[in-house]
Amino acid sequence: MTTTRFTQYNAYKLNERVYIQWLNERAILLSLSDDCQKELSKHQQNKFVQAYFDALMSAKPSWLIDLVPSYNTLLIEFDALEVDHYFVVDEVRHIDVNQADTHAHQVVHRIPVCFDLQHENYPNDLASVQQHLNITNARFKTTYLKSEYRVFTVGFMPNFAYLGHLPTKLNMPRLSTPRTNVPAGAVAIADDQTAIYPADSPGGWHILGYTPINLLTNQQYQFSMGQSVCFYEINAAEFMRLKALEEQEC
Amino acid sequence: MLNIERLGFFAHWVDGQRRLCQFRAYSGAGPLDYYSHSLANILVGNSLGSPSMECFGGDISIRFSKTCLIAITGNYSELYVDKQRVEHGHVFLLKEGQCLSLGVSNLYQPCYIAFGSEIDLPVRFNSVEQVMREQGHRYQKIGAGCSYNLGPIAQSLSSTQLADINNIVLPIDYAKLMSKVHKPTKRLKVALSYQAAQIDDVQKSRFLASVYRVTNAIDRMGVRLDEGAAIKCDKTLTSQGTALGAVQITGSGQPIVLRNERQTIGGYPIIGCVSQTSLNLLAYAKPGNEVFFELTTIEESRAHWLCQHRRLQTLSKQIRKVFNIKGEHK
Repeated sequence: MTTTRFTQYNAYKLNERVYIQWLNERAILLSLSDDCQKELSKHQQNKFVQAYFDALMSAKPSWLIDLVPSYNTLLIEFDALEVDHYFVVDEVRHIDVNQADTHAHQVVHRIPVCFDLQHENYPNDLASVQQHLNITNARFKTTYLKSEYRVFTVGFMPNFAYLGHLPTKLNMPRLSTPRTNVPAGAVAIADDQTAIYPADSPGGWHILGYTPINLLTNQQYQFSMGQSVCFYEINAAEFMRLKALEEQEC
Repeated sequence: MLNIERLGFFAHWVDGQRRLCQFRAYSGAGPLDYYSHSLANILVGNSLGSPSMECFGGDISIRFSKTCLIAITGNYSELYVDKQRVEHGHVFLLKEGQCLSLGVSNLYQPCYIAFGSEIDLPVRFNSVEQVMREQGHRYQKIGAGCSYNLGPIAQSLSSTQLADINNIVLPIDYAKLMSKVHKPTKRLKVALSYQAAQIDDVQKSRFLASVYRVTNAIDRMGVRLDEGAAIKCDKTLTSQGTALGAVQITGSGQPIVLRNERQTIGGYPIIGCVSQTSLNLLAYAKPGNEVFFELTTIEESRAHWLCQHRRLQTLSKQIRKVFNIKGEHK
């Protein structure tokens, strides 16, 4: 195994682009080298990680317990009674990322969003966001809705997809004081990302509107790394109609 | 049937078997003290991946409508069968109609009840485990009034066989673990990894020399510590996967040890991971306890953990001989 130990603890250079770090008895972290991160865009880095993720998910070796992909890292948890980290590193080294099939993930989810709900149960920051960005309502919606967003990773809570990237003119810093409760279905933005809250939770993102889709239960909308999401606008009446349908099907 | 009459503060089924769910942000779950959970299962002749009930705090009362072998490990105080106090042991044969009652003195310190019979439970991600924060209103809580179907008793035992099991000497390290459970100071072995190289040596030394205190913010997601050296790490991070036992450095500089129901990714720097054997001890931490970290290597952690597992396998062989079960299990 050609590996070079370098300045991270328990880390080994797998090749020019990737290094592996042994984290504990049964997990390793695959990361992109600093040079690779400088060379590739965020999208490209994420696609690179996705190639390893897809290869392992496709093979599902018996020693694989779980995978946690993130923006530019992949945590691999293995059965330490069956294999050790040397074995796993060797398996990963043999993955040919050029052969990886990412087509399976070219799913585009179309998510309806209502920007106009007027009720105290549906707090909304759209007006303050537009004011901060010095952008008209129409211009904001056009810009936001025309983009197709990549699912970089799913984290924080089940089916919470980190979507990116927002057009630069829509970038917003997070709320200085997070809300103690963001209602389920909130479509929100922070930094250069957008996301949908699948369940009620605290949150520091700016709420733009709401989707009637229940992301916890609706199996058609289960997000996974590499998929895409685009939004389309619906009015309040259509929101209520779709929400009632979702609740029936629950 | 297994009928729950009282179930203390909180209880749930654990089996440590969740697979391929973390990439969808479902936590890996599993028992806080993997060793006690495994031991309870071995004592009733189950495989290690069988469900056990992890219970926290209060009085537990379970009535059996059919004969069932049970084992109890972890932290519990008094034990009664049909209101008759029984000596502390680990394995008991409950007959049809009998009621098991036990007290768990502390709501932070778990006990494990394993049943020598198949239990009918729904399975998701290869596991019977549910995590409350993931399920919201769909979470099926275990509580008074719940009943579970028991399969035919897996092992029928005579009183001689039962005595044989209770007399088989438990692994020495289990006795050691239980003796440490009530000590107010816990030593946790930690192996440096993740962003440790970005934290300067002075801060690493202070981290290892500090005595931290367990705060009230302790649950199955993590154990938040304070009153020790605040650690600063200037590295900006994009979110990364969080391993079990990861010691995350929060914005205040105080560490939090991430446990079984941690979020799957996080953006705070991590200095290293607590070893699995130390996590079994940490399962019994409560607010006010002191914790200090001792440096180890991942190779050493792995060696200790494999030794512990080997001792469990040896015990399992002895017990399966009593049960007259052939074949190995993991």
